Amino acid sequence: MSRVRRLLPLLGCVLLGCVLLTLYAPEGVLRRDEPPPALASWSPYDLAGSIEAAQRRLRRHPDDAAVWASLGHMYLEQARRTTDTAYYDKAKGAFERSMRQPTGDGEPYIDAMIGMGALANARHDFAGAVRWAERAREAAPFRWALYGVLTDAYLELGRYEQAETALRRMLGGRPDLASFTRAARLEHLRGRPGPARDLLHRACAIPGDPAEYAFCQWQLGELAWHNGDPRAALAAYTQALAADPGHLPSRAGKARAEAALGRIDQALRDYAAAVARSPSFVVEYGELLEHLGDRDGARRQYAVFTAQHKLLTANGDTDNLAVGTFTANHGDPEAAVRYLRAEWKRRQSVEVADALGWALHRAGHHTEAATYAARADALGGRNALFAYHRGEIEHALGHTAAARAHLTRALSVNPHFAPAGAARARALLAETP
Amino acid sequence: MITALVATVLAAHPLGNFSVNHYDGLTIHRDRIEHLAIVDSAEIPTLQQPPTGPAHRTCTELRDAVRAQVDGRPLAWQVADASFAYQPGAAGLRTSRLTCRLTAPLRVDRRLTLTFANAYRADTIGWREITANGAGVRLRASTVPADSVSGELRDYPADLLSSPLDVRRARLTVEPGDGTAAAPARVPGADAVTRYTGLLADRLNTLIGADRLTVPLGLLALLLSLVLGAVHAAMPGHGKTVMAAYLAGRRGRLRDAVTVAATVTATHTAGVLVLGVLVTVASAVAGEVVMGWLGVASGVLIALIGLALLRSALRHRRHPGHGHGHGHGHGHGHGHGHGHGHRRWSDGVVALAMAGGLVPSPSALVVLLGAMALGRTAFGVLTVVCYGLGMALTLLVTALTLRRLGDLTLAGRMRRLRPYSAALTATFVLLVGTGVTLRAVAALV
Amino acid sequence: MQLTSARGRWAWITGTSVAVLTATVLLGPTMRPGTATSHWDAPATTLNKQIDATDLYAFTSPERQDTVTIVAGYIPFQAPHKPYQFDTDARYEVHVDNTGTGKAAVTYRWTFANKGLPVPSFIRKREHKAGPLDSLVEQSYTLTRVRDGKSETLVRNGYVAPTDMGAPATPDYPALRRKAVLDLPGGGKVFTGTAADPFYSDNHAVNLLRFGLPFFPVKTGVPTNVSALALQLPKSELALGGDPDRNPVIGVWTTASRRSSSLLGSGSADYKQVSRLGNPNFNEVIIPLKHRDRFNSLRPDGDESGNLVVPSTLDPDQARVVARQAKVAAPPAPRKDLEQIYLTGLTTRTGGPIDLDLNSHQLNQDASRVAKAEELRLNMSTPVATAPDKYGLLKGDVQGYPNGRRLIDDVVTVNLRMLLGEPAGRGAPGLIAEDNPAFLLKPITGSFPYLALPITATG
Repeated sequence: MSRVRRLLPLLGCVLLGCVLLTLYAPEGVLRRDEPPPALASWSPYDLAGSIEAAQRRLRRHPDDAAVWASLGHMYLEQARRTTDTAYYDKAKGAFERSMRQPTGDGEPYIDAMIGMGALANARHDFAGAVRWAERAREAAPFRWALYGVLTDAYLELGRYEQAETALRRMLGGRPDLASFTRAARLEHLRGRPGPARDLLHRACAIPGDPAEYAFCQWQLGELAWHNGDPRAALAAYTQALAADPGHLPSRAGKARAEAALGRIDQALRDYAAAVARSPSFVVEYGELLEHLGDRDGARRQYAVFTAQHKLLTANGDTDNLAVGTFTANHGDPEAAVRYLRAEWKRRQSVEVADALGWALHRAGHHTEAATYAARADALGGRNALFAYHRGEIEHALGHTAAARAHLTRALSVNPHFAPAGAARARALLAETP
Repeated sequence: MITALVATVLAAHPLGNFSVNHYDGLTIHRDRIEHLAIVDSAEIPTLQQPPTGPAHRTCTELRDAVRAQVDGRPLAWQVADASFAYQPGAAGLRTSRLTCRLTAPLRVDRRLTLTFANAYRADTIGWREITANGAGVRLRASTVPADSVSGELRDYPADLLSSPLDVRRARLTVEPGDGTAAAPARVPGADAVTRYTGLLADRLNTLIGADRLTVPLGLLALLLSLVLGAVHAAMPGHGKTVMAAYLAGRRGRLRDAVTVAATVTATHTAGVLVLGVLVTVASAVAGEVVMGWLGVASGVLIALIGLALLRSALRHRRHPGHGHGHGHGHGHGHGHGHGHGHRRWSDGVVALAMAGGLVPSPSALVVLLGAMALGRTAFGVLTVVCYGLGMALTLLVTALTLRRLGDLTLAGRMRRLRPYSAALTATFVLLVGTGVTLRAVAALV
Repeated sequence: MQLTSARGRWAWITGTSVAVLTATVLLGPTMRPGTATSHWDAPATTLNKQIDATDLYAFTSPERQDTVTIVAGYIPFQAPHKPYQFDTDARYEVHVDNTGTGKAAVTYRWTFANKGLPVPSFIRKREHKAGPLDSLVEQSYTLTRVRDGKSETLVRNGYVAPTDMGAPATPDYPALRRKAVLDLPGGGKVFTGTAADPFYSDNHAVNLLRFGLPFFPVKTGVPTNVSALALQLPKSELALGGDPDRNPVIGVWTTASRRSSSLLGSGSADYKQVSRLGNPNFNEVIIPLKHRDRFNSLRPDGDESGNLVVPSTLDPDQARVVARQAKVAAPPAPRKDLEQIYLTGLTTRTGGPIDLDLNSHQLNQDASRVAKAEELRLNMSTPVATAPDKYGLLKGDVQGYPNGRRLIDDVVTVNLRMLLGEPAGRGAPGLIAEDNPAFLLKPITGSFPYLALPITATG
């Protein structure tokens, strides 16, 4: 009895502590509705505000080429931030208006030309982007932004030497966030994660606004992810989201890293949040759901992908690489081969080579698949997915030793590269002696 | 032909194929307010989120997300009508349109201020438009227009120089068209005390946040915070503090009671200040991960301190006749022991007072942070001090009153608690430490 | 990238757009549904604020007339209370040419280091964190003087004045300002840190000059802060041969250079000049848009032989645009007067249209060969005006712009009027009303560094 009595105050304290924590902890009952303190700060680089100001100005002065061009660029940025293709048409309209205005030397306004190139890149018209950028280069070889457009287009077209040349020009003329992040990308493609990381760290020291910082951190996360460090990746994605909570690629990346670390619930929550804002990540999400055994959930996500693809096609923006990759895994491999062969005619990047090789393998053409898979690896990049695909193809061809080597490499580069793929690679390694 | 058709349908959604577009049309009558809510989902969200039940249920969800207040009091909405329809969209897909008609009673018998926000599916991108109209009443200072520029989400303007609307809240004043007087409407919901202290806190916040801080305004704010603090101390959760004050007062020394009151003020003010500093510093400076580890570290530290306190307190109790606790056991018998006992006792009371003051009240914290954000840190601190003083005032008054009444039972119970007071405080510290650690660990993992 | 000087009320959007354009179109193939690999989706706006030179001032210190004050402003449009940092991977330099060859005789070089310990911020919430640029980190700097190929460290571990963030973070701000003013060996002074941006302009002039568009006429400052690099140096330290009496003319410009990076194991990681500023507005008004990035990477000693600066000055497109908009006539090309103003300085010896011996290096008795180079030229022997006029030379105040630049000079209006032909010809003096109402912010102070304390939320 006396013992119970002695314990009573202690129990009381426990209860009190629990109650206080529920009440006062951040997000606790009492603080849930707390308004964040109003801030007196503002940003001159606020995108929506800048767009409004540009629109207001153009209503009064509709012949201002410079403002039309910058409005176009801001619409492009808006498209990027909201992942909404509807802004592309607006950007195009603004650039065209800008280029119609007379300039001193009879050439169209240079920044509008560069903007048209950027828009072409965004719409996956990489050859068109090269044309615009080359035109801009003739007119203004020292306008560094055009080399960004050029580098991106060449990298997507698989013309890596030309990309490198353009990038060197950019680094020599204006070392900044734009050139450093692109240089990191090329280093990564060439299988040099160390220099890529250094470059990204330097880029992360430059940004002037949260969206740029989020972009840099996201790139760091992607790099860590591709090199098999989901913890570092998660940390970087979290940083990116702290700077820009609306950065969806980081949200999806965070989900991917969480899934790799076994935090499935969090992963599913983050994926759901990401796909609610943009359908860009539905296949990834669906594949995780499928891997977890939720076939219906996966099917719903795949349906969204198919619908999105239909809409893009109707809008004239086809993405054969994405559709081919999806179809190879979740549809008719022969159709996937058709999509990807068409894409291969347009561009010979390692991503397309890998996807085409994989689709050929799924369709049973293993020998041809092997040549494309080898091309995907030719650049020297450390890509676990490519290595896994190669391993599977070699396995199908009966080359056990080569298959083992590629599968081992895949798992050593990134043991979590894809939920189902990694499991399958492990199983294959276990069954082949 | 087909492409042209597709193009027009596509143009229908200014934010593309995965936008969810909202329109809220408010019509204010003399006796009610009507709310026409339309949610126009483009192809992808229509596919992603098929209706889970009848339209009426969806409209109920929407109703629950509406935040509308008249003079600070929430409106009680009811779903009057609901409908849901699919429409052909681009590329052979469907779009959907949810229409909800809500209504809420409202007597416009004097000038009222209405605020409105619709948080239904607030995180999606899309067109957001609010309009407000009066029928038989006058609208003044409305932040939203009377007419929909999109024809209630049917015809979005699509020229190069317009951005999608993104109006998420409205505020307006409504007046009766002809002045008829009636009794003020009854307010449903929270109990009176909570409501009025809430209103008081709001008022204080607006005062501090005012554009120009004049002397009368500042004094008013300080007075308000004093009252708030007094009310706060009287609210549940401060029982033990009141007890401490009472006990101190009961010893017959007003000075002790004042000590307790001063301790409460000091600890409360310090607590709020420290927390405010911690919250802002931590969130501003450190990254999330660093912060997580900091949280773990500080939690462990607090827990350790608590543990140490508890250990020493328990040791006192286990060996009453030995060690530095000697004299306590004989306290009642020997004159010299009395002093010892008294010292320890009042220490315990002070500790209780500290524990009572330690928990910073959220409203004081909000005021402080708000003031800091506005660059009026000094004033914010002053307000918090006043708040603490208010608390102290209540405690003193209660203690003195209780002393007059001389509640013996209560005193007896408190005396039994007395030996535990040190352990009590220690355990409290330990618990807070453990809680902080657990929270931080949970956030890290 | 130069958001240089002419910053009007609505300059925000131009700020963004100019940044968008030059710095990059960091836009790649966005929106690739489903493929997570090689998703290249970068912001379209990269703002190179840290290395963006905004204004340069050079004038005889009014209360210490044996010294010259040079102020270079970087990182424009700083919001009150928000901390901003210098780039630790960059060199910020102020160059002084006393021979007239376009080569720097003396260079003052700032490099910055983060001191590591963050100081608390009470202003920002986590969501507003934009990364390193506005995270609250204390910085220190090293000031080096490069002369005759030799470099000499003048200040080590110097204190950089932060912005004024109110009591808890930066208590007793005036003391911090005093702490940031350091003495240099040889009698000079240096100030490095945040200050209220002293720039102001006439909106009408800004819009005509930059965009060729009309705008309402009001003189305003910018309600923001700027990071300043300020020097006060004995004239003898700057003059050719150490003799300001024989050789009173100097040319000043500021540059920022950032370390580049090698690529795939080859290529140089040298410092690349990314910003250059001498005369206000020169890059954005005289140099055509297409070449503005290039101008930022050029050095003045290449101006004469390079095929950009001289031809652009002799025949600026913008003169025609402005003249058409303002419905006035601009003088015909070649604009020898502009060449005098911006590239050689004013002297009667070259037979230019402006018949005045004021600030050409040819006035230096020991100068031998003088080249055309774009620099802000200052004649250190011009007496300090007792009643300075904001229109400087155009109103007969020879101590004002373009003879150096004082903090009070209305350079945008002066540049506009010079573009239209003054002071060589009649020009269009009435274009900008001289009594336009003024909304100026903080006044400058009476002693070095003359800049007002940073703007805060309360003013």
